[in-house]
Amino acid sequence: MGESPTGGSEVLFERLLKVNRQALRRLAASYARVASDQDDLLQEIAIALWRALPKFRGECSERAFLFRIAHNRCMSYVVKRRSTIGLLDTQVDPEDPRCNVEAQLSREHERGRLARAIQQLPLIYREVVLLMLEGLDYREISEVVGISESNVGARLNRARQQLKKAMDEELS
Amino acid sequence: MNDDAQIAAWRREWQSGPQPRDTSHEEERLKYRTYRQSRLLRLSLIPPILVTITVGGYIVVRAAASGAPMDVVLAVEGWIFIIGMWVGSLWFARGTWRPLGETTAAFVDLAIRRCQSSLKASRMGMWVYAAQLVAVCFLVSAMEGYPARAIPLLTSWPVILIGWIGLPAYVLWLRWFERGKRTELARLMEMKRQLTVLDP
Repeated sequence: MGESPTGGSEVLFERLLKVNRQALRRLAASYARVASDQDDLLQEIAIALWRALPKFRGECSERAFLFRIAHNRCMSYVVKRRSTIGLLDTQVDPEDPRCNVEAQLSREHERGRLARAIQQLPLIYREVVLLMLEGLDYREISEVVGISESNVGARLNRARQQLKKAMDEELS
Repeated sequence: MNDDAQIAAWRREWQSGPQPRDTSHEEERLKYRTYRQSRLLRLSLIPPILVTITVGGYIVVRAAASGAPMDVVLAVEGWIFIIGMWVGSLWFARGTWRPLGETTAAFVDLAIRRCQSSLKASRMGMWVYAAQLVAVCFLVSAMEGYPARAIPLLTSWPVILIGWIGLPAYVLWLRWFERGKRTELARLMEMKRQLTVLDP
């Protein structure tokens, strides 16, 4: 049974969720196929964070701590479920007059191409690429994934080559 | 485009979406459900403990109240099975509480151990179920005048329901459960193999 967060942890929990909600949603969308599964995964991440916060002693950055928990939940999800990776929803709202629909569609197309290429990556490359795209540096990624920084570099290098190849192939 | 510029471009693309539509209520919903589910997780430990206390308590109280040798023997036998179930469950659950590391391989290993543990535990559950049924029938028959009591006992409603219907139903469920677990295990072993090949 996990410990209950204190008042300070509760504030931190709410702040971490608020600041990183979109990143967590993107991460969930990269591992779960359908929207309801993504919601469940997001929920599991939030619960794991809530239960882990009392143990947080500041050994790493808050962001690395959060992403480690999120990554662990995603890995648990991937090994538990048969259906995993799905396309990221493109959510263009044609009713919104502020949107330049054409430009947005083009952006979404590019982003979709990137997302599809990521989905083709083997799991061990996908996990480091997703963290890199969320802006984590090598040290943070190594803390999150539990491998050395040099191993992070090697994986990212191979992942980058595969990603580029997959994206080029889709274009041609 | 050099590598750094390419990564920066990918990062911009990636972080530009997807945007959650309902931004105002999502955090609140997530927080509310987290607090609620956290409480539920704690409460989920109560049923097996409650069953142990209720069933175990009932057979002890009945034996103490009646003082009949058969009730005392059944109470002792009942507690032996309860303790056996707990010891067996905890034994099979060894090493399945948390991953040994925080790498993907450690998670896959944990999932494999959990899968194997579920298969062993469910098989043990079936044997304990059958053994408990046979033991109770045997004890009751033996202590109340075997074989005169055997037929009425074997055709009584609790034995029909728990034994003649319950046991085959449990075996059928077990076959279905094991098939699913074996498929999952094969998938996990393949995942482990791929991880070893890609990241020696």
